[in-house]
Amino acid sequence: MIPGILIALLTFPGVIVHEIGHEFFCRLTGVLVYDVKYFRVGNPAGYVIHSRPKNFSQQFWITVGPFIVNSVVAVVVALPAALPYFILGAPMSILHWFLLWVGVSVGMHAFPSSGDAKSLLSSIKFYRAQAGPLIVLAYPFAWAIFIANVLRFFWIDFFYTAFLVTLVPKGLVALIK
Amino acid sequence: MNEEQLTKPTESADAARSEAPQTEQAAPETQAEAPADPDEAILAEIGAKLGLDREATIAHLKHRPWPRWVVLAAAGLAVLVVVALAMSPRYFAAAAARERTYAALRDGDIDTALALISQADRSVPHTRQIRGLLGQVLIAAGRENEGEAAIREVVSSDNATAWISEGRRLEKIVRGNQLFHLAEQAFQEKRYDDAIAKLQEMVSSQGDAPNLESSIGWCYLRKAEEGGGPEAAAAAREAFNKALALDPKNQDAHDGLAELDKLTTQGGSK
Repeated sequence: MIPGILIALLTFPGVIVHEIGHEFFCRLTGVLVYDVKYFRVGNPAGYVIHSRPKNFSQQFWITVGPFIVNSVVAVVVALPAALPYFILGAPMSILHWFLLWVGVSVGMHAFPSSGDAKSLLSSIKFYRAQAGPLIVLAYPFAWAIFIANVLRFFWIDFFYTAFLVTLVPKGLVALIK
Repeated sequence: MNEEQLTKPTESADAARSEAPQTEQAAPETQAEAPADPDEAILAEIGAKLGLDREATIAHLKHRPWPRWVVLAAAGLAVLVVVALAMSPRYFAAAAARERTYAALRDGDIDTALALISQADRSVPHTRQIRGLLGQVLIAAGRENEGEAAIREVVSSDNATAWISEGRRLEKIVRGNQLFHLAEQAFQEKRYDDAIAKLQEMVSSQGDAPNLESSIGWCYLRKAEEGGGPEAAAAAREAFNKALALDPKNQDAHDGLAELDKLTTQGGSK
């Protein structure tokens, strides 16, 4: 089994983008950010400390943020490397390898952590009265995060990344054709 | 700011992998026991550090720019992505050239196919799908050694044999397509014997095929209509029946037999 710290070191751009994802949605939803550690050699490898969300949707988007940001960034960064390879089997240049590494690293950290899911679940209880329609998504999303974190043992984050950086470009090529 | 005193509402994904404890923000029910609102305590701590009052601290946090290195890293990454994307059009052009090469091969036009794929190969050299196809087209054009060499440059030795035999198969297909193209031309010009000869050459090189047999049948049928006599009509029937023996659902052969029956019932030719 590969230690988490080693994976964090090898894929540190993903940790940074994950925290940027949280911070971006804090800023977007008007939640104050007190402190951010984008990356460190430790546990957790990064974190965002922010003020208490005023409503449920703020908490929801802050939790979901990294999943959206990391997934989009992984696809956009890996796409130029993946396209020539999947269309024509072109040889990969150093630039392509670099972009692929960044894309894979970012994709590997797309899933919110169990801690993020716990935050979401506790905020469901706290904001139940004012949660609005997003609460319908919150329970399945929180449980999906828990399950995904259990399945990390079986490298689900890696398979999700493989989907992002291989099947998405392949799908785009098929659409273009 | 002392990190240990602060809560950590969100963590990196990897922290969870290593089973890091998640410190939730103070839960609502524990708020009553807390000596003060943790948000206010943190704001006071940050304000004290910055020498700002509460409102100014909030304004500072709200309008704090992204760290310079984050902006620079994002800009750098964006530039690299744009540079890599700028390299993509030639790959798309090469992919389009490959499709046109296949179209030319379908028409039996080996010269155009070779010109197209050679040009694509110059624009994206050492690309497996392009140089490999160039090799196959060279083999199909009878330049076996050059073709094999091109394939071996980009395809692993395990797969090279399959690519080379595909090139040889392509040679037969291209030759077949050329013959079929010539047969079609002869048929349009009512040179039915020439058309039949070309189609029979295809049968002898590719083996029996229902479509080839029904095409031969149609040539004989038209020849019979043009005064070819009962021999041509009999040869047409034989060809259509052969096509149906190979493929009982061959519509072309069914249509041909129906038209042949009409012709023989009328008992004459045009």
